[in-house]
Amino acid sequence: MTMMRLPIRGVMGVVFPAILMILTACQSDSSATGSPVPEATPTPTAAVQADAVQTLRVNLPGEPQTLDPQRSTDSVSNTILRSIYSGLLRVGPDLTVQPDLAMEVPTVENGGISADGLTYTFRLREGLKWSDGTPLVAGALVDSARRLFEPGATGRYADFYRVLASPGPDGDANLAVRAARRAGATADELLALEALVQPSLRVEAPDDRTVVYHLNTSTPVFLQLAAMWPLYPVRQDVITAHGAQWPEAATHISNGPFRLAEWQHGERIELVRNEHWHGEAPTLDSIHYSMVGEAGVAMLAYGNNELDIVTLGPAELVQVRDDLALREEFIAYAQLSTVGLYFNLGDEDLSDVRVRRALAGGLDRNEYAEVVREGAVLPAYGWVPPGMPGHDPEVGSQYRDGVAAAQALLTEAGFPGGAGLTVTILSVDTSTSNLTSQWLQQQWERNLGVTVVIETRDTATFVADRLAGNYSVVVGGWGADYPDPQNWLPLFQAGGAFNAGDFRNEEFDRLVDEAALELDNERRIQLYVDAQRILIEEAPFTPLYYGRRNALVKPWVTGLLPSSMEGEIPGALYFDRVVISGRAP
Amino acid sequence: MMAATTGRDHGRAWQRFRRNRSGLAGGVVLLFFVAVAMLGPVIATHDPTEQFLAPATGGVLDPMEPRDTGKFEAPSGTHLFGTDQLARDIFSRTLEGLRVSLAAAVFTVVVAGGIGIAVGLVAASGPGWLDSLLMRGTDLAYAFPDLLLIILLRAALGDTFFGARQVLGVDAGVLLLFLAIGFTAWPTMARLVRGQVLAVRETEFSMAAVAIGASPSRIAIRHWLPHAAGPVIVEATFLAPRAIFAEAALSFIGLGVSPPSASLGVLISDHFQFVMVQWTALAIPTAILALLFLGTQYLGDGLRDALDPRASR
Amino acid sequence: MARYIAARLLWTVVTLFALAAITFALMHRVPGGPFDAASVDRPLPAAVLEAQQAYYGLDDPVPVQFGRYLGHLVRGNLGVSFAQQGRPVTDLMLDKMWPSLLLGLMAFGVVVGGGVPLGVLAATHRGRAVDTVALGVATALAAVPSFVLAFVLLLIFSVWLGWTPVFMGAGFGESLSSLPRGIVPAIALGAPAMALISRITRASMLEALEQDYVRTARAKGLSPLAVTLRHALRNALIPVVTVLGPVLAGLITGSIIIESIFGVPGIGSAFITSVTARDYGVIMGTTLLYGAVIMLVNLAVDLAYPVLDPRVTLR
Repeated sequence: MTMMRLPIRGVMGVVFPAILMILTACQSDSSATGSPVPEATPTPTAAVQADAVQTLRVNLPGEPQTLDPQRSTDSVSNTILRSIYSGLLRVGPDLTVQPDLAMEVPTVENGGISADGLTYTFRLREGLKWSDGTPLVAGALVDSARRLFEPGATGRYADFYRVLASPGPDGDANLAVRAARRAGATADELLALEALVQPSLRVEAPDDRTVVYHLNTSTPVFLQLAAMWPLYPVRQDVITAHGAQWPEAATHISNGPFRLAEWQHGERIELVRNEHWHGEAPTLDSIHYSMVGEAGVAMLAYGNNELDIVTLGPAELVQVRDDLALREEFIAYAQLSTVGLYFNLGDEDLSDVRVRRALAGGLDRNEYAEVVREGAVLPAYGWVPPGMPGHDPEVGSQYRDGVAAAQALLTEAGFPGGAGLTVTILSVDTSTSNLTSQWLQQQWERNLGVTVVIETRDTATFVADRLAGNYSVVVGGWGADYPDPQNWLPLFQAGGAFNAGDFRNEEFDRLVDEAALELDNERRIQLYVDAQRILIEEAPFTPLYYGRRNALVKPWVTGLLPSSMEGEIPGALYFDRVVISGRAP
Repeated sequence: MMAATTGRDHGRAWQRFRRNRSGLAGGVVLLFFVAVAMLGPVIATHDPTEQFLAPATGGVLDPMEPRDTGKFEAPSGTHLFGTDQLARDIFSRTLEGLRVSLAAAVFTVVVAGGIGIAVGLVAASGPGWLDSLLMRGTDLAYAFPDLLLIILLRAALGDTFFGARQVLGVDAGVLLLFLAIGFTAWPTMARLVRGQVLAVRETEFSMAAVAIGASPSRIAIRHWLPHAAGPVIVEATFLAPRAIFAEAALSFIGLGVSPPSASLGVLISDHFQFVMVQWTALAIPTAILALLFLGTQYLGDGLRDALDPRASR
Repeated sequence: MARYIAARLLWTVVTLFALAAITFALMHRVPGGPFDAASVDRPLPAAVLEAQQAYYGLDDPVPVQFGRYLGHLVRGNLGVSFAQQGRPVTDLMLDKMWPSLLLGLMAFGVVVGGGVPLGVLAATHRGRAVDTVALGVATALAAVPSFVLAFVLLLIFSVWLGWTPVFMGAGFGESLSSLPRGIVPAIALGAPAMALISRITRASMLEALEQDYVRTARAKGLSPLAVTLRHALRNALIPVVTVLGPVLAGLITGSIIIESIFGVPGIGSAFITSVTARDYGVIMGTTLLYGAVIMLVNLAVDLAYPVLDPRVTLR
């Protein structure tokens, strides 16, 4: 998933809960044992009597940046997008891909995937329609793929789709962009290369019900990519007519179970049922999203029955624990997300891997998860979170109870007893990140004897300082876009769009490249585990916790299906199944 | 009567002030908090940044399972005001925050007062064009977006005050923030000083001073400025708590000082986050800030009455 | 008079120009750019960022950009918001201005309707319990940070009394029936200014009550109420009005904290969002709006002087 959302301490209309907070939530021991399936699932829909008023009221942690699927990168936007669009495929509650616009999931057997794994053909259902009732044809999917590679506007998610073939006289343009990135090309060179992609992109619609994607590399996870928002169909005519403003409520046209009815920026969004959706019609008439950033205020609104679902921050968790009635409404489950510390590899002291390992080992992650975060998260040692193939509990075990080893490493690196080493934690000023920074400060000062300085900045200054390398440590993480390590490990490859610290390790790159081409799944996963070992050992990043979601759900919200890959709101992936039954007046 | 303040007048002012019970009470409250702040390091029972978190067992994974964390504790014998979100001693942190906030507020008053007095005095005593120019500058400063300036100053200087991490026992980041608040607060002072000086400028004794050939700057500083002293002192009294409030608001919107620095503003906005779990943690620093505010209000009113006899009866 | 107004308006334009120039220069000096805030966890690679900036002309020298901005400004074009996919800033601000203006006016009602009577009451009962209580109430409301006051008001009115929804700000200003929801936020917004106004009214009222003409009126046997309202208050209001100007300007231009707690989609939250997102167009738009409102309100106050106090003439 997506970037974790902007943190500005819960204030001002646009308030995003701390990054960390977003990722946070979730209990459930299932995540510890590796099953991503939520344990807490409210009553099934079938048996319930639906109320007359079918409106679900939820709170978003902030304003979506855009409701344009090809431009969206943040989890708030995706939370909405996934309710108003349907893609070729959809990820089911069991994390497998299921047909949505497509009649069936392509396989080699049914002819959907060519024998060489380079051609994916999707046959669309009959009678598909847009929310304005006009027919939806395969061309809309070609349009969306082309939009993704519009020069000058390419979002970072375009990089996930560089596997789409774009053959030119000088070879494949998408591969050329990727290679240039890895080689560290200049902005002008990249822009020139990116401009070559769109004209030769090989996504085709031979007829109104067939779309064919040609790949430049055999990519087993392409089915997952086909289920993601960047490939949702779009209405090119609407975009042409209204320009960048098309995602506003007045002109937005989509094809999901719901459609955008109102978008008061910074205040609220209202979705209503899309009567033209091809799936089983949702029972809900509408969904109201408010955007109140203060967790305390959202909690009051929940208590006042103004919200049906609310996610919990650390203080609210304690409040719920002490309240028997609220505990009845508590749900918790794993999120496929990992948050940890990015080290500044350009820093003189931290360029020494021993210093990084010492900092990684000088932390009691149990204390963080259990005491500081009240059990809202799980202690993390590896990069790929539990519940996903490629997670290995042995990865990173060298950092368990690692304080003594960390002290020895520091002495070896020339900082006996931590003397002479100053670590600067750069962060934004939110309650959760302040909590984390101050805890880290105390841990490292107490366990390692180093001097730790915390510098908080407003969001944009934070990014600028980070780019300029004015830090030793920043806290950040990743949430799964699709449940495969292929979504996780390439992030740290040289030239990767999200490799902010510019980590470069040839053996790591080789293993990840090899895994991408490996067709034997068992071997493929093993390659990712091996790569992960290098990553954790070289420590450009050290994990701190795995995310979980903790939330309260009113008893009248039935049929809610939580997922380990959902956006910002519990059950948001499957709101079309929710039925309101027996709401208190 | 519009004479410049003289020594005899100060004596009378003190007499008048002593009779003003609410003003006196305000002064006593302030003095009490200043004394507490100065004695803070001695009174403090704990290190204000030390976290007394209960050790983890490594097995309590269910967030609904009760646990001992050492956090959010109610006031007790060990922790007089309880503990905060990182199990730090709120009593000791409050003392620290009080000291930091008071010192920083004084700093703001000095900055805003210094700039404001200088601009106001020059505007009122200088030539007309200079007056116009400075007053338009003041208008501009009034309308200027404070937040931008604050973000810029912090970005330019980091959390150091021209290289130093601590100045007079206060974290540089805190001083910097209050410096920025001071920069945004001077226009009121400038207008006030200008108005006062303009009023006294045309009086007989200034005419006389000009007639005997005193230099303009000497007249301005020796004769006109003292006339403005009363209102300036009153305004400065009001400015101090406003600075603390401004800092609390900045903390709340995520533009406050870097942790673990404590200030009243940081304590209030931090403790606000868990008010429903332990309300005393929010009530205590809020009450202290409120008392500081009320104290300065009554003190300021008392001083105004004492220094400006016209307003008193 | 007309000449005076014309001169002041000219000054206002000049000052606004200076305000625009300084703000423009400063906001480009502040580290970080409009495309940074969106990428808090994983900044864009420098190369991608540069390409994006070139696309939007942000790589030109700042004076060039400012010239271009002014060119658009005189034609009434405030540019577009980067954070909102190129939405016109004028459109965005019109959207946000309305709730802030309404709420500000309601808060102004609280300030005047609460502050002036409390001040008068305190002055006419000088030194007695009423004085202490009236002033105490006004001051106590201003003595706690506004987010704490706002939260306490929420608890009282929404949770304990159940009179208003917690999301009071939702839909505020969209219809007549939504106006009562603004009362509690307006109290929270107006409280600090109300304390100020009540104190100024009291002080100024005390002075007025000592004046000869008031004593004369009293000696003539007019009722105390008539004396207070007809003679003393009118004069006592002059210093109050000078303060009310800036207070009004401050209230109607939005408050970050009150808007965020009550969920009012106003100009205050638009400003803070734009600053932290480096959304240049919106920063400029909100700053200029704020500056213009402040200066125009001050002008209005100056024009009101002679009406209230015939001794004053404009120069």
